[in-house]
Parts: sequence; C-alpha cells; structure tokens
Amino acid sequence: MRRCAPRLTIPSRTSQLARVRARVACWAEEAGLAEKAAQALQLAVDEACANAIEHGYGGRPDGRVEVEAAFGKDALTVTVRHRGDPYDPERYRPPELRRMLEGHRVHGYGLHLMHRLVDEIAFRLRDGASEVCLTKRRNGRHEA
Amino acid sequence: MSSFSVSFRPHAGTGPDPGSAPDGARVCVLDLAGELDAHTATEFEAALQKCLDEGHTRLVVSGRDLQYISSAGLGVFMAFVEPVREAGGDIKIAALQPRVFNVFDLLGFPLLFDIVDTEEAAVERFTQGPSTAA
Repeated sequence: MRRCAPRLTIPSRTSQLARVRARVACWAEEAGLAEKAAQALQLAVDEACANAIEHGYGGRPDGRVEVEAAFGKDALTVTVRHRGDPYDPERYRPPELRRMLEGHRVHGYGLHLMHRLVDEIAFRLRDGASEVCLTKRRNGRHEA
Repeated sequence: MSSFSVSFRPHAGTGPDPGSAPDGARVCVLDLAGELDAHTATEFEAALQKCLDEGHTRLVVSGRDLQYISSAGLGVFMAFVEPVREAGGDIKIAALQPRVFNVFDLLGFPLLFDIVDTEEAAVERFTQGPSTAA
C-alpha cells in the first residue's frame, strides 16, 4: 500500500504547484531517491506543470493537469498530462545560455532546466493529450 | 499553496549614513522567504517594482530564508536587472542556500549577477564599480 496516491489532478492554476511539489516529494521518498535527486525531479515536474498551465492552457484556470507516478525497478517516472495547446518538442533547441542571459530573456529557462534536471525526458501526444514524461534514476545525475 | 514572503528594508549600513554602503550610497535589501515559483513570482516582481518606484537602484536580494526557486523566479531577476543597471544601480544576490544557488548555477546566472555569501559582501560590491558579472 503506497502512502501517496500515484495520481494527482489539479486545476490549471499556479496556486496548485506547491501541492504538486509535495506529492512529488512523497513519491521520491517512496522510490528511494536521494535528496538531491528528489529535489531535481520536484523542480522538473514543477516546470512541466507551470508550462502546462501558462502555455498549454494560456493561463485559463478551467483546465486540468494530471500528474502521475510510475515506480520502476531503479527509477521514478512522473508524467504530466494536459489537454491544452500541445508543445512541439521539435522546437526545442538547447539554448545558448550566454546569449539568453546577455539578451536578458525573461522566459525560456524552464524547459532547459527540465532537460538538465532529469535522466530522461520524453514528450508525446496521446489520446488528444500532451504528455511529458520525466524520469529520475536512483543512480542518475544529481544536478540540483 | 506556496508559502512566500518578500519585504524590503534599508541595509543596516557601514557607510557614513544609516543604510548606506561604504561609499555613502543607500542600499535596499529585499528579504525573500519560502518558495518562489510561478505563483509567487508576481509578489517578488511587485516588490522590486516598488523599490524602483521609490528611487532605489542599489538592491541586494537576500535568499537566506528562501527554500525554493523555479525558473519563474529567475525570470523576475532577468526582467529587472537591465532597468536597474540603466538607472546606475545593480541587483546583487546574497546568502543563497545551496539548493537555490544550484538552480541559478545550472542556468549560468553567476555569469550575469554578483552572487555572494553574505549581505555585507553584496553591499561591499557596490563600492567596486560596475558588476563584473555582466
């Protein structure tokens, strides 16, 4: 019996992000992730949910974002799913950070953080929903 | 809901006047506490804007009690650093906890901002001319 339900559905409001982080912390503990790995996954999932809310739903509060955990043998995968505007992963290019910083870019760091923070990241469209799957391995990279 | 607060105060002062840096210029310190995310970033933005509206351009952001930051919080720093520098000041960042510093570091922010260990060290940097991080 797991201590935390493996699925959480939130309204598309940024006020819900703290709830998501708390749930991811619980999942990470159950999965046996080290503290740094857990924190990295928490931040990556936060960024994915914020993107779903702000870009997928364009800030509309009446959408739904599903966050779901899958416990593997040596990894935890969290999937963030929404039915707002889909993100096209082909558009992603590793940013030239120095240029972004020098250009004082306000947006565009979240996606890069997600790529840096997890061991695997996958985007897909399934049954009309956009999904991003974020995997952290127990012995993977510990960036944050 | 995310727990976050931001307040600002004059630096206690090591210069000739209360709240001033060693070169005499006034420094405003913003104390961040809690979790700075896409929900709470607007509070930080409003506080920075209020500082600017009140004429403060030498700003130290203290992260001593900041537990968490996401890219939305980093975006606020980016939005304000240029106008502050154009007005002749700067935003220095002090006393970040390791977890929060790591996020700044992952994105290369130490290239752009002076990030130092203590509030006093941040104030000292104002006497050393323009940011070397820019």
